[in-house]
Amino acid sequence: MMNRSLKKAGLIAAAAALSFGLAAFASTFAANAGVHAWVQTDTRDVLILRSGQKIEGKIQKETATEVDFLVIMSSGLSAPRVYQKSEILDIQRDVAVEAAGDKPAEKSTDKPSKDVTVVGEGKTKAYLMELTGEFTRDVALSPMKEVAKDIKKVMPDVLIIKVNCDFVNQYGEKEPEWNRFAGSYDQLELVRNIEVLITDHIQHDPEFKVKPRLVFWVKKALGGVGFLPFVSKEVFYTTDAKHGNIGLLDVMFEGMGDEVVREKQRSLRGGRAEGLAIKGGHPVEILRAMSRIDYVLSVSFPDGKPEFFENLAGEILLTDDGSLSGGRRDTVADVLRGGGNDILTLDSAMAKKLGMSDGTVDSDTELMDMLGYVRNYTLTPGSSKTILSGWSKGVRDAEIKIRELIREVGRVEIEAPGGWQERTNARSQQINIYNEIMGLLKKYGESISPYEIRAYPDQLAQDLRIEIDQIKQAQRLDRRR
Amino acid sequence: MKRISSLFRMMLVGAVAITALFTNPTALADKLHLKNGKVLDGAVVAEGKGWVQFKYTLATIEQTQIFTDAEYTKVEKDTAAGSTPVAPGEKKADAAVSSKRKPGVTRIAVLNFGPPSEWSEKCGDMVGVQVSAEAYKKALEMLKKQDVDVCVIRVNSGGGYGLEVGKFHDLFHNEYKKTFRTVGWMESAISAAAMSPWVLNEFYFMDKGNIGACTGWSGQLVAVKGIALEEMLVQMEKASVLGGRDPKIMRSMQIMEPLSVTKDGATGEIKWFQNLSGEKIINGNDRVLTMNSEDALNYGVSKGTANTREELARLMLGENAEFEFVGADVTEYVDNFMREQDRAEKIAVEVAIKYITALRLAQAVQDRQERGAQVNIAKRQLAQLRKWVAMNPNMEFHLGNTVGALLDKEWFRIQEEILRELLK
Repeated sequence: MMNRSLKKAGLIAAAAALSFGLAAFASTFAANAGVHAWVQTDTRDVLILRSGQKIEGKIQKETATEVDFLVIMSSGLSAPRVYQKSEILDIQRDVAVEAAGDKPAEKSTDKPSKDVTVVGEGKTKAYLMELTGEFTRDVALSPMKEVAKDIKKVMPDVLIIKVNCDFVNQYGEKEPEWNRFAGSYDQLELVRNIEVLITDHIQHDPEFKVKPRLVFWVKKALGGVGFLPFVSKEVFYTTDAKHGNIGLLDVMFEGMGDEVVREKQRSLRGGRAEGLAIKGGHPVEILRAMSRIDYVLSVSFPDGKPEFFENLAGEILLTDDGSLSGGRRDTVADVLRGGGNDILTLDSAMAKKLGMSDGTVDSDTELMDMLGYVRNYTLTPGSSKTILSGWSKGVRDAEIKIRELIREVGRVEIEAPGGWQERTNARSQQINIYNEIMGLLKKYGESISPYEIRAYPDQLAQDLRIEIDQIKQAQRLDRRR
Repeated sequence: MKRISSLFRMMLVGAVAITALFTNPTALADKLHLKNGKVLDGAVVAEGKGWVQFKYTLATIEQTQIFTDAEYTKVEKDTAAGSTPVAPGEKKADAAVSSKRKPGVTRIAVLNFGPPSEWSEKCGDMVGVQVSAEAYKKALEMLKKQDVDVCVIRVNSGGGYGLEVGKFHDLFHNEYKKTFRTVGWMESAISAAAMSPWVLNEFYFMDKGNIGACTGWSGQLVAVKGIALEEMLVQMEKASVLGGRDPKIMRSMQIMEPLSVTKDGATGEIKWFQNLSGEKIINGNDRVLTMNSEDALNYGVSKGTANTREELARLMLGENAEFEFVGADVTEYVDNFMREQDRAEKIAVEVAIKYITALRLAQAVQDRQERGAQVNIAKRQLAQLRKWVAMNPNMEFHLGNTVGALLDKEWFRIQEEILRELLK
């Protein structure tokens, strides 16, 4: 677990290396600079600052004293800044993109993609979004909001969400699929926020004249993302599907405080998760069996329909109580071979038997056939691929950029002869760097790994705001001699 | 503190020049003319009958404050066509029209008890902080003026301070229930958010709705025990009676007590058991109960399941009933209260650090003029903290936890004395 002292060592101390006198400070910086991704420009403006920095981007507004500037980074990320004219040595306008630097990152486009399949007249519009990568990092609330906007643009008749995510821990880091840990329930709140985008927002939006039919298609939904398919009445599985291992809710918080409070914490999480299953019309028993080691679930099939028992009375034992003292806890050997019955992970066959699955399909065409759209449909990913992959790239680029900027702030020096102007320039540079970091944190903070930047994003942003204020105080009190 | 010390050293080096404070560029262009002659530049955030919520920037600090009609003379709104002055009482003509009662039409207001998940935004949901009885008290007065028939308390909160529960019981039972048909609508009502509306007699749930997990605790998951626990159990037994529910249900939500239920197939009579002898086990041994919407509906805790307010209205009033949703400005007031308290929670540490920095600089500096400037900076931060505490008294200790001092009247008085002394 990263702590503040590490971060302080890496970042704040770097800033503290600056030491100078006090006086007036003329620059004004845009607070809480918003960041826009995937900006596309054919030309850019270039600001040459007195500090020697060269800033590329677009002039938004210019007055006699200041320039409102959209800084565009080499990755294509952008953030607004305000520069005082006194800081600027030269302005180069409308420089061609090739000359100005790298092209922006991939952008969203309305052009028909090669991924679009049109069958017959293409009457039924189906939107297929595939969730891949690490849940909480690659699949996060902000890009999902963008995808939701794209869905609204397309207005599909059918919304298909394919889940094929890596199995990750509570920090969004990849784990072996056999592993079990008590962190998936920390991702429940993200699922609760995402599910309203694809259910309630659409259901309650009068602009959706026809509410799209929501379909989940599960390939790999292990851990926290495993909650998501439960919200849909219709769920299909691939032949090699894995769904579950959400688990170890009953050992969450073990070793902390009193058992009654630990149970309360487990209960509220379980209750919220069960709500999602009820919303989708699925048995809460399946979700419980995916969640707790100590939950016993068996099933019988009178008239071919599943009947669940929270004991050993059913024909098939899905999960036992995993009692350690009773010798029923899964062994490592079991778990490594994909066996064990402490925590439920569904495959396509069992999902079908238990009524979770509406069918097993391995291709888009099969799925559309199963849904009843045989000869007349359009299947499109819309801009979802671009949005989600753009986000993933943005997150990773931002993590690298933040590390670079933290190093850069440590290199800021007061140039000779060390007078008021040089001190002012150095402070201005520091604040610019901090603002750039804050812009990236604001945009990508929800997905940035604390390990990658050696700090918790929210805490780092708060520290930077305080640091900027203190630099401004120092500058305000600095005296021009 | 290292940074502050280095600033002190820098300050002591030589004389200090006073310059203009940093001001944030602002795009806000409305004007609020106060009765004391002051004019605030900013933006109207929300407004209703008898009040306006106004956002403005005082030096570097953004403030959002509610002004009653008695406190200002006019609002000058910046529009594309120029500014339009609006006197108190003239505003919200459309609200006035919609507030006219139509015969046979039931008037429903919905107040959020915690941010609905549909907001899809990062806003805290803590009872006693973002969800405050203070705000609900003010909302009650506003709703009374709008001739509301039904008030829906839409709950989505993970709980909060136990001390707020009693305040909500008093308010809901003695005021709301006597004024309107008041119903709870559960998205997720956890802990203090389950206990607070428990005195209401009518609950409806969403499909995904849940309620429970009411165990009191503090610190590192340490349970409330002894007399304090008994007091909480008794408090909720009384609340159960007021809400017309069997106290066994809440008891299983508070402590690890089993709960089962039997429903008579013929009469529909429901009987609860604080053991596992009933037909359906609702809560097993060694568990704390969070009840889902299916069990709530099947066993009478919920009167129906509705996912939209229109569905809810039809459930409450009948399929063919006519209804309209009113009091949008009151809903907005409660929502903005939540957002403002959320902002306070998030930036209190920064404000406190700015205050301490300015205070220490003022104490260290020799130049009288500069000392005055630092005192002014400190005063503004102090005013911000005071405003949050005034909005919600729980902020005394809630922000106090992050600031490191109980922000009570005495603390503010001492700080003011210190600042006054510095100006002598």
